Amino acid sequence: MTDTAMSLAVITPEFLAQAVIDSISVGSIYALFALGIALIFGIMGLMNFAHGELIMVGAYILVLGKDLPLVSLVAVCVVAVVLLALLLERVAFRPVRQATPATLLVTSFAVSFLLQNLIIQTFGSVPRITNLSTTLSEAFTIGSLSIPKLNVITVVLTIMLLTSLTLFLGRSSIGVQMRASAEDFLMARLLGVKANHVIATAFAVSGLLAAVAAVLIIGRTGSATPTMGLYPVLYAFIATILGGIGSLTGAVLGGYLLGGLTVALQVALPVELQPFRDALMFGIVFAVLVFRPQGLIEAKSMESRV
Amino acid sequence: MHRSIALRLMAVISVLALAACGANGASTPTTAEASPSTTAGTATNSPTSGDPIVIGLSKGITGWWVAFDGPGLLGAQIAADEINDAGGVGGRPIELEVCDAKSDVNQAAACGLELVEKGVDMMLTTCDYDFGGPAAREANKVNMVSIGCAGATNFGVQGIGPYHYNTYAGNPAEAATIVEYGYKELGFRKPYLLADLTIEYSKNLCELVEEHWNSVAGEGTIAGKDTFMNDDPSIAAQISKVKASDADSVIVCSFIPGGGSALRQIRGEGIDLPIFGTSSFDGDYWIEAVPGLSDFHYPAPLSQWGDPTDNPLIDKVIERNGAPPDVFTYLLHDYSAIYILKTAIEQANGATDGDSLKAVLDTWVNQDTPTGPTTYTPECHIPLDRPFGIVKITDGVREYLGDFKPESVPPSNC
Repeated sequence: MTDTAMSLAVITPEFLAQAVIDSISVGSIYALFALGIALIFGIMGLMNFAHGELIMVGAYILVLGKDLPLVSLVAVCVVAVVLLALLLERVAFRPVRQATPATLLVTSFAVSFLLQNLIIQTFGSVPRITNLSTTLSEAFTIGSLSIPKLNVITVVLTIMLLTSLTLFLGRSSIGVQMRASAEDFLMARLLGVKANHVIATAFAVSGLLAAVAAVLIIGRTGSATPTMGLYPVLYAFIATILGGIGSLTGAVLGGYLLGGLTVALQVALPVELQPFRDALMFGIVFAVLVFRPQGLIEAKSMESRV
Repeated sequence: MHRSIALRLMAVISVLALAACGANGASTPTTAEASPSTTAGTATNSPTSGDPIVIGLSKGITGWWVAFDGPGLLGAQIAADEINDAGGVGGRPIELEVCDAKSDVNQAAACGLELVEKGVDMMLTTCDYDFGGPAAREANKVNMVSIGCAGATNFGVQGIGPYHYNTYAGNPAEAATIVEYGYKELGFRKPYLLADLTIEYSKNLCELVEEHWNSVAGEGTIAGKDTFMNDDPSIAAQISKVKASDADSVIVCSFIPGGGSALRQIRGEGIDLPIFGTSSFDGDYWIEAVPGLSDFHYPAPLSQWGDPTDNPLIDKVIERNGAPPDVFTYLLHDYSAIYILKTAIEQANGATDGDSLKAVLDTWVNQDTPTGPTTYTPECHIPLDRPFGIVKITDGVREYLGDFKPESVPPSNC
């Protein structure tokens, strides 16, 4: 049997249902990555390469504190990563806020290298391992379908976070100020929006998203490495650009589309072509951008900037 | 405003400094004494006399390779200290000259060149074709013997040159062991292959497993194959395909951490088929990631002490550092490489030049080394016919089942 025939033969309704579940679960993780990046970009025009390192630091906290009860550990992780995000904003990004996008980008690279190398110096580059929770690595079985509990938690958590964030941005005063700043930062400041406050809040939220991403990744893989932030950030960028740079809804949409695309290509491609999975996926993203250079959902803030 | 300019300048300088660190490591050669992982020099307090024999080591002392090169360097130092304490090689002490290749392919070539220019007598490289090859090629250019350990079949005569030797049995032997042990001893009949495409080692290993499986069990008996990347946050789609197949076993060609993550996800999704891993799963530091792991086997690199789960070298590391090494295989291979050089120099009547050592090494047939019986020929510098130790994990506990030597090994470069 050829590989192509083999991959076609296994496509049954159960298999398709399983693939859809896999897509939603992978997409949820990508959406979380992308949202953290899009939030900061929308407000201060910073493509924060150090976002992956926030996830990585969160992962190390989960590994180092593995003797704590799960709920306390997750709480410690969230608090620590939010504080780190605030610290980075204050020490690294606030001083260069008025600088060109290139300077901001280089600063985020520098922060990213710094955090990576601090971790290597402190804990070495050997993967650090933990079993976050045995319960999390088990699966629900419905008929012939099996759904890992972690996938359900991933989807539920992502939906909860998205809903809270939407309510926060739409209903709270600081949320409205953040949206105003994302649309036109200068005008918002002229109207009395406190820039420091708004940007610090955005970093705190991105820290929260990074901490949740760290919990979900560690729950899945069980290992933390100094370079583990690279992959999430790469995918987050692509999801953000695909969805429409600067648009929060776009970032989430981009994340889910990318998740679906990854699973679809992994399932559909014959094994000989699988090494080119990512190349093909990025090719499809490029093709979309040729027809919609502004991404799927155009951010209002980008209209004036371009 | 001035403060803002100063801060911007500092940011630029920090970035430039970081970039410079990455680009220029060769200018700061490190000696064994300077390495953070050492506790003692190698040529001091030893009952030796005469000119030292200088062995250059091109190793990733900083960057991500330190996870593997760090233990490797330590293994080389333990071996050098043992030899020096016992009177050296023909009375001459062994001295190690370390160059930090910074886990960077380009830097490895620079380190190779620097060590050659410093006049080292022979060289040990990073245990990987991609990261160790560039330094080994520099040694080869001046007919200097270099030793490395890597699974890739190009890490030998054809891929590097006639003066490069490998202490590891290589991917063909490992693949043959996985296939023949799985087929004959564990009764695998329809395995599913999961290949990690991140590095040449794991990718090439699964290709060789497939090739050897087809010759042992017959074409068309592989239930399916799929690929993943070591840092994929989820391999849900691949696992769904395994579930939908009629596989009776899974062979995971990968390495830690992604390999461990793959096992966690496979078991987490309720697949309890027997799984065969690779020699990269050696050691127990990763097992916690897969709670209650059972029915998992892997081929462990052989050593002179037999049982790969209980090795006296580990006690020596605990004696020095207070803690066991995280990754043991690399420690053992560089420890062995120093002893291989010692034996070769003694057999060459004290000569240290590449041609004399090569003349001796090329005639080795089942020569005893710390990494097991070693055979080299002028055409093959990878000890392909060495057995592997088979380790089984039940409920998270490793058990050594004995050595296993495959009947045949797929032909390849060596």
